[in-house]
Amino acid sequence: MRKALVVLLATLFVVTAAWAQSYTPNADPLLGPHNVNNMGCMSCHAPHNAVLQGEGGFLWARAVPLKSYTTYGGGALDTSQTYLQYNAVTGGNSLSDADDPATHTVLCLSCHDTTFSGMTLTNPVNGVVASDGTTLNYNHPVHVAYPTTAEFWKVTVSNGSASFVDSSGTTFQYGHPARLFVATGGTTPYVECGSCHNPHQYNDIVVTQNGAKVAVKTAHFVRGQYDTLANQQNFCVSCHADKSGQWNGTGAQ
Amino acid sequence: MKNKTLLLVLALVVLATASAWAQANPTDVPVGAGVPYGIPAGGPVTNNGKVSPAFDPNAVPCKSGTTGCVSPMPGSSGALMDVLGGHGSRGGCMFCHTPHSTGKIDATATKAFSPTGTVAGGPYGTETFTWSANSVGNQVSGQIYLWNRAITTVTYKTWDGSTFSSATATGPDRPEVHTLLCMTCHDNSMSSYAMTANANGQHGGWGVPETGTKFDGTTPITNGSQFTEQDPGTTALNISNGVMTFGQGDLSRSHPVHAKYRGSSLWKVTINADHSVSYVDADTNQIGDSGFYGHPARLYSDGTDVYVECTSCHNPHRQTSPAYKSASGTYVVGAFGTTENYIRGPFSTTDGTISAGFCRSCHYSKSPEYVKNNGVSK
Repeated sequence: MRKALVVLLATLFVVTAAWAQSYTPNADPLLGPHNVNNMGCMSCHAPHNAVLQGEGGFLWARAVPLKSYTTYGGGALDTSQTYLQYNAVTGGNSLSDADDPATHTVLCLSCHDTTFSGMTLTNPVNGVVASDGTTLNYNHPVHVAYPTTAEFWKVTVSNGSASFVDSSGTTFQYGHPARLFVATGGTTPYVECGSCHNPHQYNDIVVTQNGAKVAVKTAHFVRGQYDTLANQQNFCVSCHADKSGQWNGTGAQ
Repeated sequence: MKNKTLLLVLALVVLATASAWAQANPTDVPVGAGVPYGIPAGGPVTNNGKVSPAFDPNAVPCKSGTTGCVSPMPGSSGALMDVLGGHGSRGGCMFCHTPHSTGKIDATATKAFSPTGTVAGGPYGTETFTWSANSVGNQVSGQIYLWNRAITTVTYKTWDGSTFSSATATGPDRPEVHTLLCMTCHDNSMSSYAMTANANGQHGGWGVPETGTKFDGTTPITNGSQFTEQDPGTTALNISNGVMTFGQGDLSRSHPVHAKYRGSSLWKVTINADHSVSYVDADTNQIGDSGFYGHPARLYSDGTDVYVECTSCHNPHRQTSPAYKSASGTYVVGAFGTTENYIRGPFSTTDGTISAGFCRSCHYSKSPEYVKNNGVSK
């Protein structure tokens, strides 16, 4: 009886260990923890029969939350206004609005809204952004228009993409690694999750500094250099001009 | 007594003969009780004498060298699979190629697949499957790789919203041929093969995303919508059963096919005089750089543009053992690992770095080499 118990416990241990192991991200150099369950690119993208159709759907492999979130400052992000429910009976209905910059926030919430995904993300501080399923108030604003005030580095919009006026880094030597999103044909650049984070590059990233591309270290999928306290600061002020040493007090440029 | 013995012998002979007769004339697919996989409710669908069982997503898939598996094709249960895998399970090469042409493009027909008929359960109502291999029309199918299956006129919508039509598949030098020939089986629109006719609608055949359990092992979520969780943690994504279209003629939820290969985020390529396409970054460099992936994908060109087609990622002749271009430029088999789902390079659904390596062999901006090369596009 005792022997049987030992065998049972051992089996249970092995099974538990195997379960835990199977959800440990492997050491892919770029995907890091986004190599979910060792599925590589398929952690998020389905080569066939994706949930979202079309170019704006990024061959998304995961369910998309359709609900309203409150954002920092009391705003709202209602994803159901952007992502129509798919009608499985008639087929082929529009699933996603490829133009909507909110895509670059909503797709993240497929996993990082843990009440929706049911996932236990390994880092509760950085990995969970909507722990109650509705509140994004405690996060950097997402799906907000990039300010046009003097406190921010200026951007121009052309052909549906936004670029910083100071692109060569002559004014701000650390460049402007953040990415802003514009609807096709739109004129307003938006800040989304993907503005600060590149989900494909965990620790290693390429940025433009002083006009030249260089490979640097980062953390938490941050788009810019983010390995020392000084560099972390530089990433923030790459948008927040008035917090940088280069701000002239009357306007970013 | 003597008569009784004679009668017994006679009975035995009759029984043996009947048994031998039955053995020599097997049905394509056993019908009735004991049918293991893939037969829809009501029995197999018969199309002019050809049997098209539904595909069962729960069946054990066939791979090279495995036994006891079930191929999506009829009559192959339990067979020892050739390197062709499921593609060779019935008639070997002849499942797709015929030594004497019968297949034709039927430019006048709309679909070999008609959304009315005899198989119940699909969201389009009942379905019927007609076989049009002998239809008349633009008779070029047999002239393209001796193709053994009908190509009917279908216009496909792709991932980026563009369309292409089978009507332009006028010869093997057309890039889209390398997608359209696949569609003669892998599509609701053109196929008479009924790969997707599983009544429960799973695996995308009827447009319902695959269901699965979540990471914590609980039941799928729906969030009040018809979305269901596609969680690679416990359930394979919709990559294994070969069903490509999402609704008839709709490829908008699949990796782009007949899409132009271009852009700074991809490895650079050149078009050769014979319209073959080569990567500028030689395989030797990449094998050395990354250790395992190189550039196994195959791109197609009409002389002007470079295209991605189904067979850019998939080699229909090799299910698990990729033939890989070595540093010397010759093709070797298995030198860089195994693959799955006919993918051209090493691939593993249980090793994310390996599977990502295949994706990165085209998607340069997502590769470690991008960082290593300082972001300078090659």
